[in-house]
This record gives sequence, C-alpha cells and structure tokens, in this order.
Amino acid sequence: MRNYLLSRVGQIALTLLVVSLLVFVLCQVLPGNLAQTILGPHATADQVAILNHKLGADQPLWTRFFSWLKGFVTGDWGQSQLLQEPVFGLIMGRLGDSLLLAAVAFVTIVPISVIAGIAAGLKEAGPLDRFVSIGGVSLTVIPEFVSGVVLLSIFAIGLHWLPVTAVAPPGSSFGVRLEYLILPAIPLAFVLFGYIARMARAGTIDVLAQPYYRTAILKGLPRRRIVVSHVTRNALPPTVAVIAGQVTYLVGGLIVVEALFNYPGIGKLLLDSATGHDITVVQAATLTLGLIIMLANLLADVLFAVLVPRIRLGGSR
Amino acid sequence: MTDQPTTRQTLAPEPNGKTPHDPGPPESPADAKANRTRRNRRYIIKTLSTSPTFISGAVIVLFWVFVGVAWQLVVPHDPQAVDPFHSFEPPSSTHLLGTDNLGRDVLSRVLAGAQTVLLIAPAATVLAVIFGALLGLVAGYYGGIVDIFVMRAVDVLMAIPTLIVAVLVLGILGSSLLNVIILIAVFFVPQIARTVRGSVGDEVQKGYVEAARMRGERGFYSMVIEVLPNVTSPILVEATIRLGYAVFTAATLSFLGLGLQPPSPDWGRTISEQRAYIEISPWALLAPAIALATFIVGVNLAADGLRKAFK
Repeated sequence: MRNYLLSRVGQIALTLLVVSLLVFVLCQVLPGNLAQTILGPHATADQVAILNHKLGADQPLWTRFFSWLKGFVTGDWGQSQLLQEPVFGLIMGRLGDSLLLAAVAFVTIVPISVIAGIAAGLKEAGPLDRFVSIGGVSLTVIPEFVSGVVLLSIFAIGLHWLPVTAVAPPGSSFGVRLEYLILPAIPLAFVLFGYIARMARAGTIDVLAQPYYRTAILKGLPRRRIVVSHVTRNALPPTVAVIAGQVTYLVGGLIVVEALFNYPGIGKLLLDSATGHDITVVQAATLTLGLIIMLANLLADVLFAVLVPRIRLGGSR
Repeated sequence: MTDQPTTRQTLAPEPNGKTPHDPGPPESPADAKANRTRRNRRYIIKTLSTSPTFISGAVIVLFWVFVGVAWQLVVPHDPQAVDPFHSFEPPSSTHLLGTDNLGRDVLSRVLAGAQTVLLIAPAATVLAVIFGALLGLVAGYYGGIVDIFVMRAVDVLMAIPTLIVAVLVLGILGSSLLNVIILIAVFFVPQIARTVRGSVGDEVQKGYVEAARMRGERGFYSMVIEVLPNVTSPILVEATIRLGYAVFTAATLSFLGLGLQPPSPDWGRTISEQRAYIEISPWALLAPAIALATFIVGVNLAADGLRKAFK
C-alpha cells in the first residue's frame, strides 16, 4: 500500500510537471510580449525593455519556468492583466463558486443514482433495469450544453419553475442562491448518473451472487433487511470510490455548464482567460485545476483500497 | 485403414436429416482460414441485421450523413440569408422551426450545420485509430522495454484532463478545422493504443506469430500481415465507440467557441450564439440541440450493436 501510494504521488508530480510545462511553453509562443501588452501600444522601446527586464521576460525559458513554478508554490501568482486583480484571490473566489455548483450537482445525483442502480441490480434484466441502463447510457453520451438547453427551455421558459440565469441577485440568501444553481447542476448530474448507477448496479449484482446473500435469504431475513444490511453495505464502497474518480470529468463539465449559464466559476475563468490571452491567470488556473484533479484521483484510489480490501493495488501485500 | 470406422461415424446423418456433403480432399490451412473468416463474417452480418439497436443507430447516422452531404438539396431556405424584418419568428408554415435573431431560417441552419461534426469526428477518429493502432501493435508485438515505455507514456497522457488542455491549446493558439481534428485525435490515441495493445498481447501468445518469426519474417511485415488482420474486430469496435466521443468533444469545443467561427451554422456554435436570446426564441437553440442529441445517440447505438455482434 505504501509503495503504491508513493508511486502514485510520483506519477502525479510527473503529470503536473508535464501539464505546467505545456501551459508555460504554450503561453510563450503567443504573439506579442508581456511588457508591450501591459504598457499599451504607445510605450517606447526603452520602456518596454525596462519592464521586460523587471518582469524577467528577458531571461531564458528554463529560468523563467522555474521562477514561475517557485512563485506558484509560494502563493505568489501574479496579477491578472485582463481583470487587474491579484490572481490568487481571483482563482480562490471563483473556485469557491464552482465548488458550490459541483456540490449541488453531487448532492442531487448521488442518492438518486445509487438508489436507481441498486433497484436496477436487484431485478436484473427487469423493466426498471432496462430503463436505468438505457436512460443512463443516453444521458451520459449527450453533451451538458445540449441537455442544459433542453432543461432551460422546459423548466425556465416553458414552466417558469426555475430562473433562467445561474447567479442570484446580490444580497440574496443562501437558499435563493441554491435555487438558482439547481438548473445548472442537472446537466452535470445527468452525465454522472450513468456512471454511478452502473457502478451501484454492478455492485448489487455482485452481492446477489455471493453465498452470504443466499444464506441471508435461507435464514428467513425479511427482504428489506437483506437489501439494507447486505446489499447496500457491500455495493456502496466501490460506488463511493468511483464517485471520487469523477472529478476529472466534473472539471470539464464545469467549463461547459458555466459557459452555458454564464456562471462566474473557475471553468469560465479558464475559458475567458485562455481566449483573452490573460497568461498569468491561465497558468495558475490550469495548475490549480490539475492539482485538484490529481488529488481527487489519489483520494479515489485510496478510498478504493480502503473500502474494497479484496482488491490489492500495485502488488503490495 | 484402421481409422475407417471413426470416419464413417462422423459421416453419419446430421440431426437435421440431410446427408452431409462429401468432405473431399482435406482443406488446406489457408482454405480453412478463409472459410472461418467467411462464416464469421456471415454471423456478424446476421447479428447486426437483426439487432434493433444497431439498425436504429445506423438509420439515424445514415440520415445525418445524407443531410450532411446533400444539405443544399434539402434546405428550404438559404441558411445564411439574413432577414432583419422577420427575426425571432416562432415556427410557422414558411419557417417550420422559426427564425433566429437575424431572421435566418432555423431548419435550414440545422440541416446545413450537420456537416462540420460529420467532417471533424470521423477524421479525428481515423487519425487516432491509425496512430493508436500502430503504437499498440508495436508495444504488444515487441513487448519488453518498448512495451513499458509506450504504455507508461499512455498512462501519463490518459491522466491529463482533455477539456482543459483543449481550452488552453485552442484558446491560446487559435482554432482551425485542422487544429480541432488533430487535438481530438491526440486525445484518443492513448485509449486506442491500450485496447489494441491488449488484443495484440493475446495474439502474440498464439503459435502463428512464433511460426512467422521462425520462418524469418521481418517484424514489421509479420506485425501488419499476420497480427493486424486478427485484431481488426477490437479496433473496429473501439473506433466506433471513439467516434461517439469525438462527436461529443467536437460539438463541445465548438460550443465553447473553440471550433469554427461564425457565421458557420455548426450546431454547437449556433447554440452558444443564440444563448442570449433563449427567452425570446428557444426554438433557435432547441433545434440544433435536439439534432445533436439524436446524432450522438445514433452513433452510440450503432457502436453498441457492433460491440455486441463482435463479441
């Protein structure tokens, strides 16, 4: 287990290094230089050269890369050129908004899909199973912005049940803010539904084939008790581990949903700063998201190892 | 002559009552192989033609392929014709799906918008299959250090969140049809390489690869001539599954404004363009959204049918 964890941490560090290098190199090939962008078109060549020197833009690529990396680690993330704000505070604020949206999506979908998956697994190949399987697959393959448009048209425009925007008016209570987040959360939840329900279903079917399940029936335990204390308890752990592994997907989904609902989260920030060539923000946001994804995946692996003990990881015994 | 009785026994009438054909001279190995392939192919075609999943998927996909190729023949209006006096019109007999903010006919734009996704997704998939299959073949055939190196690289590549990288690359470098195709292909290479590597690994265990090596066939030759034909089914299945993801990714990128630029009637692009007017003319967003949903579900149904038939 310890060896496995160490090798995973090493792999994460390597992947993050590759990602950060990729971002850094990408930003270097941008047309125009940093100082010119900051000072505007009327700056003299001398002014540009002085600022370039001050910013360290005249240093070789490697030196700049490592000083940037050092700045990132120590929390010195620089200033956004587009928004004129310190990047650290900007990203942390947007991250908070995104986490709230993601939390709403998780809280809505996890219980529903786990229950649907277990119910489907209990009656394998029954009508409910077919419905959950086909529904899950169809919802998973449809892009978030497509389901988002359909949901908006039905629930916000047709029925007027929910607001069309995702951001509540300033000064609203927490409850009202949550109400505005229901509609954006559903497309994210749709894509997750298929994965989670499939996992819960597979776990349930697995349990039904175990001898202890038969023993429980033959002992004459009531069906409800069997489902709660045997099926759910054993089908849940792998499902929990899979849920933690969905963060990679979730970050991509957030970019799309935040763009559709014009929600000021970190996904929208990344998209706007990339298309607006706001380099300091792009670099910091990418590395932050990369870090979150890698840590979540590590957490998923650890959860899997702890919750599903019969699966041994990385040959460690 | 001692084995005469057993031979006669196998020549006994089959359960269906027909007398079997004279087996004639024994089949050569090549004939046997050809027969097996033919029988296998007939089985697959039969499974596919009786699978409702595959047929409904194929019909939907073929419909959109036809529209993508021949949209000029089927559109009721010019998809780019701007008519400011008739903007935001609800569906009517002249404009079956209404008009958008510039008075353009929504139905015509939806029909004309099929072609970009139909171009990007298959092109990216084919590109990814070629490179992924090559990598998987090389890794599985040579094994050892080559295998470890390729598969480690694949692991690292697969851990990278694709949409973030796409936003970075296309947002910073700017977007073009070719950029989008190459990027999606790069994202799919690792998964295909892994699948092919798995199948090749099984094949290499079989005697014929060893025989080819003993015969002195060169590595590349025996890889392409001996191994590749035996792993085409998994490659084909993987390719159709990837095709579904390619449509998903291509549409998402163009929705994010990282695909084609306006006034392209591309579905994803149109949805983001019309987003501001959703309260006035929801039909201008719903139409491309539903078109995209049917196409994606169609591709996935076909892929699912294919996967089951090849099992």
